[in-house]
Parts: sequence; C-alpha cells; structure tokens
Amino acid sequence: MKTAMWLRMGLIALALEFSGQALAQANLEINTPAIAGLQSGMQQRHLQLAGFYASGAVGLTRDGSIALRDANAVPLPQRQQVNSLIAAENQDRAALYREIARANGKPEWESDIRATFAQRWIQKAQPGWYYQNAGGVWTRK
Amino acid sequence: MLRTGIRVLAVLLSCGAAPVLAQQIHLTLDDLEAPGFSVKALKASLQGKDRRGLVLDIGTFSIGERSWRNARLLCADLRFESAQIDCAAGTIDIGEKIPLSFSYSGANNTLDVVLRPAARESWQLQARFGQPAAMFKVIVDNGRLARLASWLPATLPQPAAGTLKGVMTYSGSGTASAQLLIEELAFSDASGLHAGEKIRAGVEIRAEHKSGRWQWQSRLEWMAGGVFWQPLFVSGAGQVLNAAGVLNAQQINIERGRFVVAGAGDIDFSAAYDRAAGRVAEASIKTTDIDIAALYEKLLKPALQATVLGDLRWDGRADIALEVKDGAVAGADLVLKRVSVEDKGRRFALFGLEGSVPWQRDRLTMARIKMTGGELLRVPLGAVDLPLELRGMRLRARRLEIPVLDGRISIGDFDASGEGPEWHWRFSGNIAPISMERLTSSLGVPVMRGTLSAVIPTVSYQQSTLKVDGALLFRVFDGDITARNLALESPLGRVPRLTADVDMRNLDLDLLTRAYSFGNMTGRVDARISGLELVNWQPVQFDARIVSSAGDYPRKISQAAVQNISALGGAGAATAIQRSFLRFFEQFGYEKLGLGCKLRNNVCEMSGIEDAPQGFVIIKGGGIPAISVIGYNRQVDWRELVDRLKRITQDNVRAIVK
Repeated sequence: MKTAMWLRMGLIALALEFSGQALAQANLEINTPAIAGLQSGMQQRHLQLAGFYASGAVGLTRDGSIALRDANAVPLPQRQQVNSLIAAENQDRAALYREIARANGKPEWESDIRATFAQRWIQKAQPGWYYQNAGGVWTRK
Repeated sequence: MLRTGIRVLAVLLSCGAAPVLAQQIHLTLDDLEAPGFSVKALKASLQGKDRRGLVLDIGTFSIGERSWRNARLLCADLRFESAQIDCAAGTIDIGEKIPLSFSYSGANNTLDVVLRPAARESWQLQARFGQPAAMFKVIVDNGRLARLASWLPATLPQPAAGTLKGVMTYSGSGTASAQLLIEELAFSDASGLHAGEKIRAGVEIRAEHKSGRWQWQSRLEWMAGGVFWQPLFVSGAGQVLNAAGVLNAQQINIERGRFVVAGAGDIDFSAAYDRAAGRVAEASIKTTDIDIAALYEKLLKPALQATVLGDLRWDGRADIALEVKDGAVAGADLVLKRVSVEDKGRRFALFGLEGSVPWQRDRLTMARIKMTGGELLRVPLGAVDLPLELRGMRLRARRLEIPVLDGRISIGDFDASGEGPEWHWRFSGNIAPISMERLTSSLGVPVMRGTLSAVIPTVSYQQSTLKVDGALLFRVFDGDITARNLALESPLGRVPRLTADVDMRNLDLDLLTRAYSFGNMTGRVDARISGLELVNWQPVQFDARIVSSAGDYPRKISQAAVQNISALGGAGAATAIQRSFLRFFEQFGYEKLGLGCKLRNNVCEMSGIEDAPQGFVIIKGGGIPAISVIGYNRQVDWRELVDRLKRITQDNVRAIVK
C-alpha cells in the first residue's frame, strides 16, 4: 500500500542514511510495542491525510510535524476534522521521536531524531506536496 | 445638512485673432457634505464640441469612514440646462472604471446616480437634499458582495463571493432601514478558520436616531449555507436571529437578542460591544428548555468528530446561561432536566441526569448532580448523587459513591484544578466487594469467580501522569494483590506507559484456572512481578515469578491443565499421558509448582522451581498418581510464548510420569 510504503521508506531511508556523529549508531528501525502502535496509528491516519497533502491543504513543516497550510482547500464541514487529524498526527510524531530516542537508550537524542525525520519526510514526500523550506516558506515539491 | 452649489469660474480661452469662442469651461463646485458623506475638492471642466464632454476630478470622496482620492468622472455627453445636469453614459475611475449615469436637478434638489460595475449589477443612489432633511436611498440589484471587502475592518473575515439585492434608506431626520437578500455569500479570514459559503440570508434593519444615539432592531433569517467558526460548523436551515439595541459612538448594545434554532429552542442574549477596545465588554446568553439532542446534532457533533464524544445519543432538556465580562466568561449556570447520554459504541452511558451547576469565576458555588444509573464498558452503574464545590478553575467532591453491580466504588476528597489547558487532580477511595463473576460477564471477558475489593490510596494526576501514592490493594481470587509504585504516563495518549511492582498472595488456583478454561487446578499460588513496564498495554519488561503458596492445602491438577502448562514450553506431556495408563486419571497430585519469566527485549528467560538436567522443573509431582512437568527451553520469544498460550502447539516440554 502506498501509505505504508511511504512511511516505511522514510524509516528505512533514515536507518540507512542516518548521519551525525552522536546519532551514527542510532537504530531508527528499532521496534517496540510503543513504536509499532504509533506507526500503525499513523499509517491508518495517512489514508485520511493523503488527499489533503495532495490538495496542498496540509503541508510538512521543517520541524518534523505537519500543519494546515491552506484551510480554503478543505470543504467547510471537514475543516475541524482536518484540524483534529493534524493535532493527532503531530502528537504521534512527537511520541515517535521520543520513543525512538528512548528505545535507543538515548532520550537526549529526541530533537536530533526529529530534525532528521523532518528532512526525510520532505525528501520522501510525493511530487505536488507542500513543505516548509529552511526559511519556513511553503514550497511545492 | 448638505450644501451644494455651482459657480462658473472661467469661461474663456482665447484662440488668436479668430472670433472668441469658449472651447473649455472650468467649474469649481462647492463641497458636498452630509453626515457620513462628503465630496471635496471638486473640479470640473466641460470640453469638446458644444462643451458637453465632462471631466470631473474629485479630490476626496468619503462615505462613512472610507475615502477615495483623486477619482475622475467622465461623461462624453453631458446635458447641462439651467438647474438640470444629466449624464446618460459616463464612467467613474476609482481605481476601477465603473460605468455610471447620473441626473441632478437643482430645482428639486435631487441626485440620482446609477453605477453598473458589471452586467446585471447595479448600485443606485437616489438622494434628495435640502429641507426638511436629506434623504438617501440605495437600491442594489445583484450587487457583488466582494466589493464590500475593503469597507470592513481587516480583522473581520472578508466576503469573497455572493450577491446583494435590496433597498437601504437613510434620512437626515434620523431614520435608517434596510431590507436585503444575500445569496451565495462566501467569506473567510486569512486562516480559513472562520469562513462561510453558499449562504442565503435575509436581513431587515430599522434604526432611529434619538438623543445622540441610534436605536435599532434587526432580523436575520439564515436560510441556507454553512459557516465554520472553529471548532463549530453550522448549516443554515431557517434559523432566525432577532436583535434590538442601541448604537452610539462608544458602544454597540444588543439589549434583546433571540436566536431561534428550529427544533432545538430559543437562545436569548444581550451584549455590549466596546467599539474603541474592539471587544465584548459584557454579554449574557440564556436558553431555557433547550433540546440537548438537537443542540448536539446541529452544533456540537461536527466539532467533536473523531473524539470519544463524537457519536452520542442524547435525550432531555437543559437550561444554560453564560455571563461574559471584560471579554471573558465570568459565570455559567447549567440546569439538567432528565438528561441521558449514551455512546453509540456502548463505551459509556449516563441516565436520568438531573441537577444544577452554578459557576462563578470569582466565588464559591455549590453544584449538585444526580444520576439514576449508567454504564461503563457495559458494566452497569447505580444511582449517584454528586455534590460539588466549584470555585474558578477548581472543583471538589468530598464524597462520591458509585454503585457497581453488587458492590460500590467510593471516592473521597476528589480535588481537581486547571491552569490553562492543563488539569491536575487527586482522590482516594475504596472498592467494596464486587462479584467477579458478574463483573467479568458484563465486561465480556472470561468469567472469573470471587470478589473484587480494593483500597485506593491517594491517586494523583499531574503533567499527563497518573500516580498512586502508596499501595493499591485488591482482593481477588480469594487472595490479595498489592500494586506499588504504580504510575501511568499519558493515559489518554497514543502510547500510555504503565510501570508498577505487583505482589499477589494466596490466590486460589481453582478460581483462577476456572476463569481461563485452563484446565482445573486446586491449590494456592503467590506471584511477584517486579519492574513491570507496559507500553501501549503490551509488556516491555518485567521479572515475574509464580510459585505455590506456603501452607497446607489440597494440590490437584487436571490432565487438561498439565497439557496446557506443558504447552508453555511444548506439547509433549499430552502424548506422554495418552500413551500411559495415566490417561485413565482425570487428576494428578503435585507437590509444588513454580515458573519464572524475566522479560527483556522481547525474550522471556524462563525458570522453574529448580533446575533439572537440561531444563527446569515447572511442576514437581507428589501423591498418587503424581505428575511432574519439566521445561527445556529457557529462552522463549515473548510473542511466541503468548501465541503458545493461545494455541498450544510446541513440543519441547515433556511430562515425566511416576
């Protein structure tokens, strides 16, 4: 499935290409019940979010979260639902970064893991999706 | 009052020796002024053949607080006769060129201007100046509402589409009115979080100017379309808003407002809006006997989608009142009348709620809510009487008794307070014996016998972590369970994390094994789980050990139980029993049983009562007939172990028949 593949590709790419002195040994594919639970929730949610990424309503932020980029691209009755999806996704992403750091026995790596994920989510995003560049400006891939 | 006049300033331009002919006429017109309307620095020239070509430069043109500078009006064929000026086809350039026609009658002191910015769109001003008072009438047909965007404060959502049809009047003697029909209105703010679309609404306003202020009344009927005002989405379906009040330079007062929500009830309100501060200084909202089901369906449900409150069935009515002071909620009153609420997924339900909850930001109030019954995870709850002390963002309940099946949960000294979005609370309590048989049947889990009772020491919740100070004591399976160091991080988050140390003493194996169709065992066991950590309710690590309790009591194990215990390491015992005369016995004696599991990284390191050659003893036989079970696999994958418990398949445990 496209959704699962996107998420998985991101994670594998991270594991293979993870760089940085302190993080060289981080196992980003580490699997714990917490990480498995988060990934499964995120994959299911991605099915609901994919259309909003494609329409440009939702974009990938430079800090490894997602944000409402253009509310006007969402029909009015669905706007609150999108807000809720974004909030839930960001909660899960924050928990994912924290759990990966924790599972590696290095809780202090959380912000580095978040920064690396942020880059990779953007690299693995599909053409047409929006992301924030280093200056925080929305850019269409 | 409006002053007007025309003076001819210059008439002549010479053209050499030719007969003197006026080729251009320059005119300076007096300023036109009326309340909310002014035209200043007017310069006109008449050019061309017969001097019928008008060029009118308007220095400043103001309506209300909006002004245009350097507007230019052109009319190729101006008719100018004594006190009558007519232009059948001109244009006005105010940044956008708009076709217009106008007619001014000095005799009647009237001005008629028609702007036609687009096909089928017209904005007509009919003005009559002079005594006793100036009169203005604006007739709009198919007027594009987007044109009004620049008239509105930038902080308000801006109209992007839609049309306006109707009549607005204003008299210098102090009356104003409007009857308008809005169609296909779309508006939004920059964030898109306050927006509307496809709105069809009728507006009627009447106002009278008296003693330096406007007294007004209005009626808005919202016939169709939707509005999203985060987090609420509401569809127009005949709701009517009636309001009346006073407008002066400082405030807009709504003295009597009523919002009629078809099928739900009426919401009455009043408010004072401070124009200078740009905020609601005071407001009061009150609704009596509102149908909660309709209110939920029409207003709250779309905002609660994907939450635990997103799919509820409501019944009953309520009175709700809110007081706003200085831009913040200062008081609220809620009266519940036979209210019932039920989660359609049957996770929870509260029936027959009655009571009153008065709340004031700055003083202590007493609330009382009664409930005739309820349900939590299909477990029935009895009648509850809940007195509450409220003060600002703090609430306390000294005692709360919740009957659960044949027992009850008592909660004492519940104290909750909130700072911003963060809430923290604490309580202590106990659970009076609840039948495990009835409880497990209700929960839909394997039926267990015995009773559940507990002493709950102080439980606190702070910074997303729930902690139990002291030991949590349960009595189940005729034994005692003590949980210490119990903490639960993010109980409502995606990844709840529970840590605890658990001690179990003297559990009755007969009650325990009957619960899980494990095959019957008699006897008693002690168990200790140290360093238990569950993430997402899955074990991540623990050191667990279960052993026969000390003391004298019957110790029997059924053939089925032997097979199932063996299955923790393999299914060899079943074959061994079936091959021997022991197959004729339903039960065996044993002396002691013991099994340990140290879980790390998804691997359970197993141990028994004592070591055996190449293995460890799980059950040591005793009596006649007796049976022993020995495990051989010390390293077992946790998930595999759980699967084995479920499916009983492997064969690396062998029963030794004595």
